[in-house]
Amino acid sequence: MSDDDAGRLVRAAANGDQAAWEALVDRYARLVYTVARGFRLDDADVADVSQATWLRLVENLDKLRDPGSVGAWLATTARREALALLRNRWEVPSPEFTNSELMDELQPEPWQRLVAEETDAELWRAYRQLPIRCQELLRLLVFEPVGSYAIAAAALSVPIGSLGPSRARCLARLRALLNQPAPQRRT
Amino acid sequence: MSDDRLTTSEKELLVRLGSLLAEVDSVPESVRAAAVASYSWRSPDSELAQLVESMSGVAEVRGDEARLLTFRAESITIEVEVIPVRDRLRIVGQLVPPQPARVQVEQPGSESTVGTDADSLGRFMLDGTAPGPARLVCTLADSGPICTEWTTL
Repeated sequence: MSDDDAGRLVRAAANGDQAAWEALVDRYARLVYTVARGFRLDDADVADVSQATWLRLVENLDKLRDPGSVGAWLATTARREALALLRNRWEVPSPEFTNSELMDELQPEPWQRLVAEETDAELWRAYRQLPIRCQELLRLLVFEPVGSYAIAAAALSVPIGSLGPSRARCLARLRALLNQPAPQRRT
Repeated sequence: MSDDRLTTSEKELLVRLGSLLAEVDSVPESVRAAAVASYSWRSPDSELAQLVESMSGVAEVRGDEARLLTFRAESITIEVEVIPVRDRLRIVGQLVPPQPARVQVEQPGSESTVGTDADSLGRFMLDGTAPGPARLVCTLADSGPICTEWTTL
């Protein structure tokens, strides 16, 4: 989906097209969920952040300055909602978390490993060997439009210009890991 | 701009990674359903009152920690204090300028809408709000409904 498609869906949804809305949810529900989960939130809070983010899109459908960039808008909004919830909870002024600090603790659940083994074991093994920062960046680059700096920059709250070298480096490392022979299976 | 100049092989790799992560990191059905259902809260004919101030950790008379929120629309300001009462929230509000109005709390996932009438001084109180995303809808005597921005309480 290009920016144009995203913009069309936003405009159609603003005019009452339920199917266009569902298409937007299909494209970006996982982006919103991924951004929310990057913070130290429990499942109920992640659900609240996701819900609040989508409700805010509903109320802003006809107000977005650039409907084609709705992916980046959703990433920014989810990040703000998550930070607002944390601030509110901890009553500390504006903690500026980076996702990566928090994601260092994220390990794949056993079931994730199982699913991944069935889907694309080789790629999963390579991906999990990447530095956390690369894993975090690449997981934000898979959303449409694929490779978009705008979405990743919005989700991480970093300047767009800082992502070019990182994207190339992380993809090169992933490819290098893929080309290595798989390690001997331990039993 | 749309793909920020990915090479073909880079794009292929990201698409492959995307399919993998979609399987591994799938969104719970309840979260997706809530996102779809958000659309039913579309209210293009109401005026939006923006959140202009939010203060948390305000000591309340009885020692509870309250949160102060100020929403502003063109013709009216809605000031509310959100006070935790056991596992629910009490909303004590004031309309500025003072005027009578119907005030309702809307929450996705809640079957019924709780409402009350603000008195002639514009004061109102609502009990029983669940923590989570919510908005207030004010219906004034002489205008259409005014909705506050969705805010996670």
